Amino acid sequence: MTSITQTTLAETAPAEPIAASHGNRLSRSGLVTRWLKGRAAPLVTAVVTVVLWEWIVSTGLPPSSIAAPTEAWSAFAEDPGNLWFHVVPTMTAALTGFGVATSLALLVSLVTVIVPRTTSLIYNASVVTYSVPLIALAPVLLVWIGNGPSLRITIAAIAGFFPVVVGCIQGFNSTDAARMELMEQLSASRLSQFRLLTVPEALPYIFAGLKVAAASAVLGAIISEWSGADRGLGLAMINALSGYKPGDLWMIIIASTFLTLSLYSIVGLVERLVIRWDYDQDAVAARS
Amino acid sequence: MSQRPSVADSTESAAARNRESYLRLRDVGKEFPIATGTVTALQGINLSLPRGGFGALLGPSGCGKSTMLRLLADLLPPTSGTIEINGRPPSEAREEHQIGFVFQDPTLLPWRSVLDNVRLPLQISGRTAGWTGPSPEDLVKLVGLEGFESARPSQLSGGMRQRVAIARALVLRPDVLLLDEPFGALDEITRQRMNIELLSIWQETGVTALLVTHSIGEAALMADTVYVLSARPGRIAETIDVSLPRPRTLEMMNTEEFNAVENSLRRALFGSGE
Repeated sequence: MTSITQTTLAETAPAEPIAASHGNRLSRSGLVTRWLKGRAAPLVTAVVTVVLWEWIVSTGLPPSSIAAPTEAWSAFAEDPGNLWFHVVPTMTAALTGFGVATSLALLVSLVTVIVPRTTSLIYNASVVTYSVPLIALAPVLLVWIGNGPSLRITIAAIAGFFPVVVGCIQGFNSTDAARMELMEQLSASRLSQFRLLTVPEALPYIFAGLKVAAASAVLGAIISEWSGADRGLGLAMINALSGYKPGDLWMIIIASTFLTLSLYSIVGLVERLVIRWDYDQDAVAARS
Repeated sequence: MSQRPSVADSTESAAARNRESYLRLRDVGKEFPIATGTVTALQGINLSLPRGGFGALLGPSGCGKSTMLRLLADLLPPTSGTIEINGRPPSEAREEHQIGFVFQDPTLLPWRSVLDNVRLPLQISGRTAGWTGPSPEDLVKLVGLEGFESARPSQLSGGMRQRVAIARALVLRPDVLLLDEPFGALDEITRQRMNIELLSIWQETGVTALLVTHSIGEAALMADTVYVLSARPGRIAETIDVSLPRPRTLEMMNTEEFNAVENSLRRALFGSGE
């Protein structure tokens, strides 16, 4: 390096300020703390809702099918093991179905990357699977697959498949044109380009799909249990309805909501750990 | 340029000819298809730049100067004419990573650190083990970003990002450096400093550089040869040699010689009808 370079660099480098200081280079534990802090507001909202709900029911205005939180709680406290007994199979079916849906969706969207002409075919086929009413499909599949965990996994998987396919296809097709040109300039192979550019850029879209899929898979598992199951939140829901037990019913509703929120949040946390950069970097660059 | 005797080529050795013109465009034209037919972006372009030279393409917006750079980089095919880099087609030069390209935007990968962005071409070309060229760490130092190796692009200012892009363009030790208005988005002060730094990097590396710019002052400060382009269709209106001594400094911009160069560039630009 010449002395000219050194002097000019010494002048300029410190003169340029660091642009953005937020949201970068946090440690992994720092990220978790921040994520938990972000959950504080919903928690407060939940507490306020429960208190309000209890008060409204105590006024006697709502119909008797609306149970107060305390009723739901006593239904739970009566036999806590019973709720867990029903949560486990639903959770297992939802998780397995989510896993199957994700694997299949990734596989199928990889096909669209390798053979781009298949994109619209695969996309439309996925829309059809999503459009079929699951509640009607469940009895049909019951005859075909038989009543058992595999039926519930299948329905949960069908429910979760479409969001992931949409996320992947959208993500793989939204690679920044300027960065594509950079890859071309560097004579990158298709594989390098996919690995080094397309996948990282697609991740936000894929995670958006995964979050919806996690919630849909729980719903799918519950719906599958309506068509006949020996255990599960869906079955417990039917039982509570037919036995007219509002306390039980609302306990199940709250438990299902918790299950969905947990799966959604786990995917969200994984997303935070995987995507650790600001998406809008170029927007920032354009302004500076 | 066009007045160079082409008959002499046959008697010269290949090496001598390469020294003569490292980058060469002969009667190059480029048309783009549009709804109503074609639009001629470039027409009858003749250009030759010697090895280690610094050329500037100066012209108004839309005159096809960026297109010309993309033709040289094999990012676009010419409609007519021939392009040679060291006597070979640009596609070969690109595939062998002999061309470094600095885009108008830094186009960094936001999920990678500064060092990993600079490392990207090495990774793509598979030149990771046994690579004897400059290390990414050295290049980060060369562009003045020592201490920022692990920073993410979002933490850097616009000027610093473009420094990363320059380091990335140099990491495979290219023979040619093509710069597409690299400092166009920067403020005047930062831009002048970056220009002087770019000149010292150019002198250190011995790379053949071609800079696209719409700034008369920048073209005069940087180049040995300025190709003044006129628009619609893009043609080289005039080729002007800049005989200012090297190394160039910002103080030179206040001299009469510099003003004379600027004036001749201005005349070439505004005398060309656009």
